[in-house]
Amino acid sequence: MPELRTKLKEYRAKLDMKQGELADLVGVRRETIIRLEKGQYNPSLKLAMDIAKVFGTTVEELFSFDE
Amino acid sequence: MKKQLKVNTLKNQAWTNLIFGVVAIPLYSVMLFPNMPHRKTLVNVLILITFVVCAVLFIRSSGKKELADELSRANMHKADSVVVNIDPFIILAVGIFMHLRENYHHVETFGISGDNIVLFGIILMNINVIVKNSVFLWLDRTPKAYYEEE
Repeated sequence: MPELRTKLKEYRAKLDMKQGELADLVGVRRETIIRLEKGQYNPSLKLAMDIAKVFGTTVEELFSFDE
Repeated sequence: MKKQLKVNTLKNQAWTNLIFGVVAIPLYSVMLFPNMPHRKTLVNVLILITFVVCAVLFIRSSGKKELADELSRANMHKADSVVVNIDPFIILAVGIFMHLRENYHHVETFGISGDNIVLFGIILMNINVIVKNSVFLWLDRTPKAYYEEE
């Protein structure tokens, strides 16, 4: 199964943003952001787009799959 | 200044349900056996424990409830599917237990009243609550390495 890769941590670090702050901005719990960063959870399209919007980037830039 | 309400997290809510399930099972189980020695005292003690636990849980769980997000909803669905698969095994285990009891007491059949079925149903529901919330808490655990960011 393809593995989910995310650049969430890098983008968060750039903005000096904590997981909890990002979670509040996109309306999820911190646990969800943790799982996303670890590639253990595939987000819904809405959540992926909300996160991309926070960082001012695209979903494709933030999330990719290792084939 | 407006006092900010403490948020009752989903994990806390799951723990509350889990503890309630754990406390309720012995209470209803004792009610299933009318000939148990010291049954009345045991029931009274269990009711008292249940009351105290409920009071503590009520105080602990007061506050704004945290709403489920998409990950917790997905975890809850997984927990539900585990419960559905476990139920037939519990019924099977109770059947085997009754069969063994019949053999032990050398009786052909046991009489089951409506009360017994109702109590068994309540116990089964409490087992479901315990299993569901345990599985949810397991799936929703926070990886240790990530606590440092708080």
